[in-house]
Amino acid sequence: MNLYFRPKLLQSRLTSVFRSATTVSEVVQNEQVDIDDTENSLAREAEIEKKRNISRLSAAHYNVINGRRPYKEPMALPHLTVKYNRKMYGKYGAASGVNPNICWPSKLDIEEKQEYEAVAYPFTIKEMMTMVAEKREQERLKTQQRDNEIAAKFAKLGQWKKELKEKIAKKEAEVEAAKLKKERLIEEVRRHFGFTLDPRDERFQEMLAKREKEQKKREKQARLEAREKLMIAKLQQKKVEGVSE
Amino acid sequence: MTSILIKALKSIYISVPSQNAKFATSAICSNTLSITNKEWKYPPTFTKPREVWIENLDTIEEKKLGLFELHPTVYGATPRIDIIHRNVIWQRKYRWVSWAHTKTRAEVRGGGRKPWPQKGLGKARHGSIRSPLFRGGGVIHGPRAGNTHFFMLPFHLRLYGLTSTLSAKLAQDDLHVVKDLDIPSDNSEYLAELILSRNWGPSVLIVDDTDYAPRNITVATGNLPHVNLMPVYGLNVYSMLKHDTLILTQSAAEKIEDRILQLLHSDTRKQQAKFKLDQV
Amino acid sequence: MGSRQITEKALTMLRSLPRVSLGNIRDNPGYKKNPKRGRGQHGGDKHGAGNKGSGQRQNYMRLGYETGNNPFYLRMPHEHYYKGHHLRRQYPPFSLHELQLIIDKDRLDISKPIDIASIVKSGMYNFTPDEKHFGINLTDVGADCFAAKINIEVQWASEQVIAAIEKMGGVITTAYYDPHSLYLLRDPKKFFESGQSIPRRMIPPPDAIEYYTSAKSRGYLADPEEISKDRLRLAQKYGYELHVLEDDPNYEMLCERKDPRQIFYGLEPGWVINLKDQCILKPKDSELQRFFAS
Repeated sequence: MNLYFRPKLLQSRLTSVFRSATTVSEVVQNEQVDIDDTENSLAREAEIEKKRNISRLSAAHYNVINGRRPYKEPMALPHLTVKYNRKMYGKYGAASGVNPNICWPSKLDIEEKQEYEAVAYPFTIKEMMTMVAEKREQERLKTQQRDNEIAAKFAKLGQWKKELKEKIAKKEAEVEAAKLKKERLIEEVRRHFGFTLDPRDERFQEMLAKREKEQKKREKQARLEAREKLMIAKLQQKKVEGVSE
Repeated sequence: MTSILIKALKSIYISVPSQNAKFATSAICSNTLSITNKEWKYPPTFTKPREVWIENLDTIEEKKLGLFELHPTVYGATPRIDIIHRNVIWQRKYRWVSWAHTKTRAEVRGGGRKPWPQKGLGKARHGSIRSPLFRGGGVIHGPRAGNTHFFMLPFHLRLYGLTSTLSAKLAQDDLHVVKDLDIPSDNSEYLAELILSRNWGPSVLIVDDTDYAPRNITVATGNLPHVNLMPVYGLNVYSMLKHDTLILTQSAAEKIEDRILQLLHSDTRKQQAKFKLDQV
Repeated sequence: MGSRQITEKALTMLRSLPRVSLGNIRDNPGYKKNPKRGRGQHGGDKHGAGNKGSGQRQNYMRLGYETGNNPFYLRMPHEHYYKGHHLRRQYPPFSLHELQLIIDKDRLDISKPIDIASIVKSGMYNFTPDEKHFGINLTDVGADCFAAKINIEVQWASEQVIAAIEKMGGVITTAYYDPHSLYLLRDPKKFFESGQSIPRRMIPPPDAIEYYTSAKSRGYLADPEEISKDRLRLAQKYGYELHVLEDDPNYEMLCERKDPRQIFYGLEPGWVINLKDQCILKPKDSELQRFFAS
């Protein structure tokens, strides 16, 4: 109806302050007046409806608090993205008005993912297991080889020690022999001179050199003779062998 | 019909049992008040719960419709005035942007030229007439416009602020629990008379559990600037202190209690983490 | 907060004091520091900045600078033993002792299989995947007093830990999760609210494959027969009676394991979970199904 009728309660004896609440309704009304009243009263009612929202929040926040999506229409660029719409679906369900199709990856997405995985995870589990087994086998072989080598070398260790000792002994012996020879010559020369002469003196050195030469000559002779003897012995052996054949 | 009954009962001062009884009580008869036996999720240990009357807003005269129990951890906590103060300061400051602005020596008009030669005059040496040493010169560390004072008070301080204020309000008889917010008329004078007759402080904060209030009370409070409606999630220390009296609906009181107790007994690492702006 | 008597006393005091309002509250003494500059003999003069130098002139050297000589933070040359340390996988530890604690305090439901998501939800453990954290390392602290029969899935466990759990009749598995899956497990609610379909879990990298395919570490890719053999070996080594799982009433729960491509228990890759509508959406498209089953 055109009129707005307020029920009167027993307790409220106070008269209504507002113009449009007319309980004096039986008066003859002008059509125009009715329309004005209606418009006014409708507007007032609309205002009161707005005021009944006592949250003092923005429209978007009011929606969020009451479990609805904040914006029905897209207001900014991010609202058009797939990520945002997926989130709207995730948070508000079917009431968000989003088609759940977008929650799954598209063909392009799938291809891209597969390409990425082909590069990031190039080997299958079996391949990786064989690779690891090979690697372990290689390591094992390597250590085994090394062990064998070392075992072989250990076996020869005793002999090497002996050889080394002999070599050192021989060197020492040579050095000793040379020293002794030198000492003998010096003694001979000293005996020859008769008096105590400094070994580093000139005459001593001359004598020493002469004696050394003579010694060398004698040694050479001895070697030659020894060789000749050997040769003769060999020839004789050959002769004997030739005769026997 | 019912109004006559109410009138008759009023003289005997017996309440009418509530029409939408939410709680299962052991015995409801018209002669007794509806006392609820509450099922606690986090039962109060070693402390007795606080009891409040459930009042009505239907009549100007006060009617007690029942007794209601409130959890002591929320409504009987130590009233930490210092925490309340910190909450108030935080609420005032975090939104505040200071627009005070002074000009530095570079911004003050003039002062590009050396006012007088370095030597010979017997005057102090200066490079510009707008240096801070000069009258009319720039300010050194003065305020710069658009200075924000945003900071977040630690989560538990905010929580204890709420419990302290609620406890203080209850202790000082400034907290009233009302069954619901249905008033008979949308007249502001009705509300004003009600507040006056019941000795509620001039300013009243009415907390409802939803953010869509009933029609009559919205219209009535719309004309009274000192009487304000608020949803449960808008409850804050500053508003509670600003208004002398706090009126909670029964469901609002329950919701506040449940929420605060749940937060006190749960893992609040996320709330205690550093506040990040623009988190979507 | 305060003790009961103090609280009651304070609230009783408030009843006889003026109404607590914005005009009669204050903070504890010492909460405000005067930002003003000191003046006079004690706070003024050089204002604590000393004489001349970078201190007074506010022209400080950079941190670590040692006035020209080779500074401490540059003296150390590269050491080859820590090469690539920032790229290595880390497994933040979580001890058996702590696990027992949260089970005793009812923060963990042992009637269901336990994985990293449940342990993080209990509140006693947290990790950050972007700091190269790849999951839980269950340590043997408290192995001798561990007393719970559980089906647990961690990312790293030593022999003692495995023995301690199997001694109680439980089941332990070590499984690999790539960083993206770990983000999902750390906060499943946030992931479901983002409205994406559950992705597949990735296979371990080559340097981790040995651990996760060996029965000795109860890897999720290992041969079950080898695992049962190793169970016997451990029982003999640590000296306890091996529990026969088949006779256990909780056999099904104890044997529940995730597929190598599965992230959440009971949910397959490709599903879309909606918490608001409390429903699961499964893809019908054959190509999508093929992709998620691969």
